[in-house]
Amino acid sequence: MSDYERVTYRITIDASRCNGCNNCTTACPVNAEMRKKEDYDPNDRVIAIKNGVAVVINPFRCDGDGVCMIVCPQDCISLEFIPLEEYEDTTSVQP
Amino acid sequence: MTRQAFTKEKDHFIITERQEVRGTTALVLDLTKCVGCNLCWTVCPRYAIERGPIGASVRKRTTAPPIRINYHKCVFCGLCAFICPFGALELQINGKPAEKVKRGLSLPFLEGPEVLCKKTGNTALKFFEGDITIDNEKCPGGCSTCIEVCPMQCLSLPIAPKEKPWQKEPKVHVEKEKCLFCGACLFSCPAKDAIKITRTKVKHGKEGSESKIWKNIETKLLKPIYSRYWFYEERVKTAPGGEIKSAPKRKSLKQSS
Repeated sequence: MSDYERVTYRITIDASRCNGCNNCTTACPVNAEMRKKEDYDPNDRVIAIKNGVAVVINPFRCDGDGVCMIVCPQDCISLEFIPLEEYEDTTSVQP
Repeated sequence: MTRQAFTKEKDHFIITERQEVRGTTALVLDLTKCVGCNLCWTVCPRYAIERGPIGASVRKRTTAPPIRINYHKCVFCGLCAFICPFGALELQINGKPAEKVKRGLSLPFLEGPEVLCKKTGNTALKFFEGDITIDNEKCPGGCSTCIEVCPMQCLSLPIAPKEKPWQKEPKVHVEKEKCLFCGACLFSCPAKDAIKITRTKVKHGKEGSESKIWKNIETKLLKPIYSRYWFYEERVKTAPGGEIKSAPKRKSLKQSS
């Protein structure tokens, strides 16, 4: 599984167009891998449906497959990189 | 003090630049040629390259590129530009194509036939020999990202018969003679362990093949890849810069005096 220390992808969902069809939650490969585990925690999923609208719960887990946006019938999901200027420079090797 | 680097976009190029004393060094990524095979990702010594949404960006549903260079970590060595079989990456110094690690001295010339990619319309170097297998039981079926991603179009799904279309067999067929063994299908596949690639040989010339850099790269390339998750876990174990054992020991001052 992807255990990145930081969020690399930004999922934006247009809640006004979402009709809660559950396509994205079933198609997401990270959700499917987690469901096989014994200690399955539903609050640890990437995408889930709450109050009839798809919501991103845990953006740290997202692996950037882009399956959710291909599957969506309303085209209301978009996936992008978070621009590098928003990170702090902590990991670089300083010369 | 860190040197400042930044990215900018021009038409279909993404340029990451760093300003130095003698001039500017830049890595230029050509989005029309890039397939998202992540060979640069395996080779990179600083883990500066991040994998993007390959399947979605090839279908042109996002503006996000299949590969992003993290300029906080990049050291502009140009190894990714050396290995790229499609010629999508290029290292430029003061606007001219250049090499920091030179072929013929510390890196060998890669040899092989030039093949035409039907997907992008560009030529590619075929310098790998190996084997590819697809586990049809673990394939989820119906997503067909690997077929759309493949630059040589050597993967295909069987066409359903007209009389009984519901009896279609969900098997992905591979033509191994065409395959480049680049790994684009493997890194775009959302399933675990569905595609396996084992590379047996990298064709190269004799000059400069005995250097330590090339032997390091060759061991990385010849590792069998079962899935990208497995590969990621393997990479986490070794911190950037190699293992501790490989670092040369410095002589202590007391012994030398």
